[in-house]
Amino acid sequence: MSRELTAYKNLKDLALKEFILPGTTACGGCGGLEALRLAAKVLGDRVVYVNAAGCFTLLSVFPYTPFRGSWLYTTMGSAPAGAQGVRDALDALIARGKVKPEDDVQVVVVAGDGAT
Amino acid sequence: MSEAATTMLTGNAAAAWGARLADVDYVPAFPITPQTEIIETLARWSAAGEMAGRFVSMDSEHSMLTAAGAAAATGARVFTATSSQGLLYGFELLYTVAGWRVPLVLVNVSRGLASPITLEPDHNDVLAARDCGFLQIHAETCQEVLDSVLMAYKIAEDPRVLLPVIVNLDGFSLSFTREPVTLPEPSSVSGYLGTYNPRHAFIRGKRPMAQGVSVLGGSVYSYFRYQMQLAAENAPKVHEEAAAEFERLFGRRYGLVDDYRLDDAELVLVMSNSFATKGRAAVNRWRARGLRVGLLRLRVLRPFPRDAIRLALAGRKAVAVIDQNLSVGFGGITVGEIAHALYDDPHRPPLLSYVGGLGGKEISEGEFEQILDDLQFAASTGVTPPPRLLYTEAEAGQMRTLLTIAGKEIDR
Repeated sequence: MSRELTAYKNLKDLALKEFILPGTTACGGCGGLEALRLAAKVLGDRVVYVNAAGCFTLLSVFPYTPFRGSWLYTTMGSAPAGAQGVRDALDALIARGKVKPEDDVQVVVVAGDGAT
Repeated sequence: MSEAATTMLTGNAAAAWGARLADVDYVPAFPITPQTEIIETLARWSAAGEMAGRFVSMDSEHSMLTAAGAAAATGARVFTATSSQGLLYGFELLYTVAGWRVPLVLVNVSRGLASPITLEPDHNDVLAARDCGFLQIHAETCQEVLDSVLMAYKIAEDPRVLLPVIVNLDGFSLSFTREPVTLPEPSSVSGYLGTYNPRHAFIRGKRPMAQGVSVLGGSVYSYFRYQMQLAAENAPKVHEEAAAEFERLFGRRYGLVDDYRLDDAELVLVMSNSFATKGRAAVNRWRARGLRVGLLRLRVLRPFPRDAIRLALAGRKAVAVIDQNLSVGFGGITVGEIAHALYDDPHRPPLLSYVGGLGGKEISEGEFEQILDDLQFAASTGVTPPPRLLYTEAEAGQMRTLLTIAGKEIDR
């Protein structure tokens, strides 16, 4: 997937639109969630976040999710392998014409949230 | 019915052909003896462009099973394979992936578990996975390996099931044994399986979905776990439908269990996987002596085919179960499950328990004769002999020699 690089120099460069919505189970003032929220403003909504056990695991609690994109919780320590499985599957399905290119997503490993 | 060709294939090559004919989209792989020939074969086909699916080597079975589950959760038809220690190394993913309700197929090539480390077969590896939510099909022949992989996709992808499936074959005794295998026409297999079209679990830019989400509280957790049990309970009916259509297209029929010379049998052996051929040979020897003995082979282990087992075994004069596994502190694993299936039947037979074939140990004619003696004793007296761990005097002699070389002495 080719994309142009964009320089984000200050907060005004960020999209106003929110891709991670408030009301999660994260602690009030969670710095990690703020970092994720800002990153999501760059990544947009064609994203799957692949997560291993950590604080963020409790962001998507059935039947709620704060993400406008997709989410996959894997297991402790295996988010990169999960991300590879998603990426490989999308590449294979697009190459075989089973998924349209516009249905592709960016695959993002979420780490550093207290356990990774 | 259409058949392309009959050729000589190992059990491993038959498993690889199953994946190829199922036209899988993705194969994450990691080598382990005695499974490696499966992924070597798939890697070769993938590199040569003979298989459209993507083949990727991973860094461990844990990563391999994560990638397999994640790819299936993305909406791909996924195949992977492992064995023994590899299955255990990726074990937490078995539960995790089954809970995602993604219909991938995993071939396990059975091999005894460490310690002591060994390479030859028994079923402690695959039976460790019996509670995780993967369905299990255990194959006796190379043809059955290929056919079971195809049936596994048919069953796993059925909306009434949506559980992954393990297809088991024995290391060495089947994985490296060449047998004649009829390869179905790809077009017929494509007609049988169709294209996997996930409606419940996928990752698409236009349809965001949260998967593998956490739950808070036991009632929500129990709901989803119970859903898996109810889905597994649908599997026998789905299996029968899949078997009937398979027979119509390919001419071979598979049951949840497999009976051999069972019609008028008074005494029955129960076995599974490739060592069941030794049981068939024993049955033939006994039949030649005019004894009414038959064999029941366990094929689908999950869901456990309670009704089929009760139907096959209730009313017999005695039944001997040979478990090629050992639950330390309990004994044979399947005999306990078979007892559960028979308990409520007023015509339940005496149920004899044997552990044999661990780490590929031979089950000799002499050991089968001991089992026959025990069956006849139980049938005539109604008294069930205690469970036995099969071992011959000759094997004990060899072991004493090894212990002497090692400078150990044993009390006799």
